[in-house]
Amino acid sequence: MVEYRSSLLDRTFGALADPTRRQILAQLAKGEECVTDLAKPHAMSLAAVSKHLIVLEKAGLVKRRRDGRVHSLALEAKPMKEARAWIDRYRKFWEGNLDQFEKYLDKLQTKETKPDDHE
Amino acid sequence: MIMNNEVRKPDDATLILTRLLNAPQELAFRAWTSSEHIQQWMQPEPGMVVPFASMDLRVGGKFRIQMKKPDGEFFTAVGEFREVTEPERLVYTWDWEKDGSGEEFGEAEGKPTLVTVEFLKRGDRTEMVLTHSRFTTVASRDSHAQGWSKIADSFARFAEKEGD
Repeated sequence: MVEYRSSLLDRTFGALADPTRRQILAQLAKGEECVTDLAKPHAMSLAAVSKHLIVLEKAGLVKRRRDGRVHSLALEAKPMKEARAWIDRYRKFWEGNLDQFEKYLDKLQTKETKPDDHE
Repeated sequence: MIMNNEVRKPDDATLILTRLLNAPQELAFRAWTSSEHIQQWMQPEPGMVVPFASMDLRVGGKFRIQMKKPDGEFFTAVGEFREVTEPERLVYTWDWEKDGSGEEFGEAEGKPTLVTVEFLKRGDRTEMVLTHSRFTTVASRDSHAQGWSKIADSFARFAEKEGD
């Protein structure tokens, strides 16, 4: 069922699985920041933070802008929209099924409570 | 009364649907888990039918539900039961077969997601909670949900602002 899968989406969720990376995204939700400022609140080396930024970039969650030696990062909205589209497709799938499930349960019980009602 | 410790906060990786069913818990559980019943009710879209369903309802047991569109296209869901607590709770993986048209288990896409279904007794009725998550274990799903809830709002505002 091809419309339910997306390798970009897999990378998106893989990237979100790490608390440091989620924190970086929260920082960027306030606006663009340079790598050095982004690294400050984290108890890890600049190199370690850079590795997390590369994962986020590959997942398409952030984009990098270079101004000479200064690298700035900003959020990219598209993957989150795709993530939401995944939820929406399954919502439609299960809502459709649950509607039918409810109707079927009603039908079953009408039959069970009226045993003389044979067709 | 909440009867379990499920994290109920939805996020962008987890869908949560709740229904109050006009049916007793045992009947709801049986109708959801037996292949004969599934073939009667499963219909994600109008016109779809279920030519085949098999359920090996035990931990480690597999299921296969073959759905067919009116134009003949097959959508076949497969998975494995992780938890079976009759008549109140089920946890199973959910994947799609690549082709899906065969009579036996075919090759799956290999990207399982996780479905949790709970049937909670509410007098003569039953509250049903269906959770479908991108994550394949309850622990990783909940850990994601907890972390995610902290940034979800600001991120959602950003996505709306930038997305158009």
